Amino acid sequence: MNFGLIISYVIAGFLMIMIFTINYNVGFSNQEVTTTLIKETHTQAVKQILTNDIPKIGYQQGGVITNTFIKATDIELSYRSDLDNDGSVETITWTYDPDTTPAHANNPHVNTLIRTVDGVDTDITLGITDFQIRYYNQYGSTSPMSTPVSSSDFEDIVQIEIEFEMQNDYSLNYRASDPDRYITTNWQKRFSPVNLRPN
Amino acid sequence: MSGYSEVLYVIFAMVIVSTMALNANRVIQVNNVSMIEGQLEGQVIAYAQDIIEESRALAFDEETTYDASGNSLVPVYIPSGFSSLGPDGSESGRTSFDDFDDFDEYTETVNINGNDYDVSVNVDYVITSNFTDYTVTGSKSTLKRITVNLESDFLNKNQAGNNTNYNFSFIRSYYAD
Repeated sequence: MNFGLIISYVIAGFLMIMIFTINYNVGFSNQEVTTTLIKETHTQAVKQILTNDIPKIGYQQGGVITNTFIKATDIELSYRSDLDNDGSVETITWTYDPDTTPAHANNPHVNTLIRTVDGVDTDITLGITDFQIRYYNQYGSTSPMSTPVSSSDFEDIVQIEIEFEMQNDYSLNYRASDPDRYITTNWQKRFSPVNLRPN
Repeated sequence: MSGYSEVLYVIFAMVIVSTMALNANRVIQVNNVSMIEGQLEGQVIAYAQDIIEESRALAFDEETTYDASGNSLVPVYIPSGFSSLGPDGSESGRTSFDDFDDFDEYTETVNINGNDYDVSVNVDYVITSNFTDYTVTGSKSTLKRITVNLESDFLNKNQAGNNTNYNFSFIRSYYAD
């Protein structure tokens, strides 16, 4: 057999392997980007609900709420607010349940975040894998109050910090033998609700 | 010439595949940058809002802080009676700030989820004639503007290679407090 032809086949084989590898890498990268964008959209949805609810703590149209907080732990925040600005006060509860994985979830780290308004539950099962609530009794403090915050200290709360992590539902592995790897997004914000101002 | 034709084919094929590889690497790099920037920029906005919200929760000026009964003090002359910008007296650090402009010249490096962000804050007295354009004034006025600047070594979009500077401003009026 012609030696030059054999070498040509070998080089062609290398080139084909290169093309397939490049194709796979680009495809994998695109999959990562798409998954990240989906997760960012989910994060945005949760952020919007939080930034709608938390700054309104203690608000009432044309009135003053005296007992704003009902419960304040690191995974549960319950308070009163006139959420829809109609003059009537609702009870809002944010609860993170770290032990309940939604039935449809493929990712075992995913847990449930529950938003309750006047007893009506909304399960947020978009891939929350961690959710922490911290309370501060001083603006700009780096030391959160110990949780659960006792009811006698509710009036001291001036800032509430929310931090959560979300992961995608399916694992993205470069190789089938790799350990499960999930796209993770984080978000952290400290709210200074107007109605918690000491003055 | 026939002996060289295969070599030329191989060289041609390698040039094409190499070009493909370079383009693919560029796509992957752009993808990675987009993913990271999207996440970090969300956090940049959140932290800037934290500082702006916190500054708004404080009194407008050192001369309008609250007395023991929780009543806001009022200077005799407005705006000339307002204080100079920046922390007053022994105020140092955010926990001791008691008015809006104490954040002037405030700097810190904050670590959020493993990423360092350089934060610097400026507060200025501003004036306006049309409530659209605001200019910084050396004298005192009833309007103050806080500008929060954030940078991160991982957020670098400039051709020159400098970190991108993210600015967020909020204008506060003494009368609309």
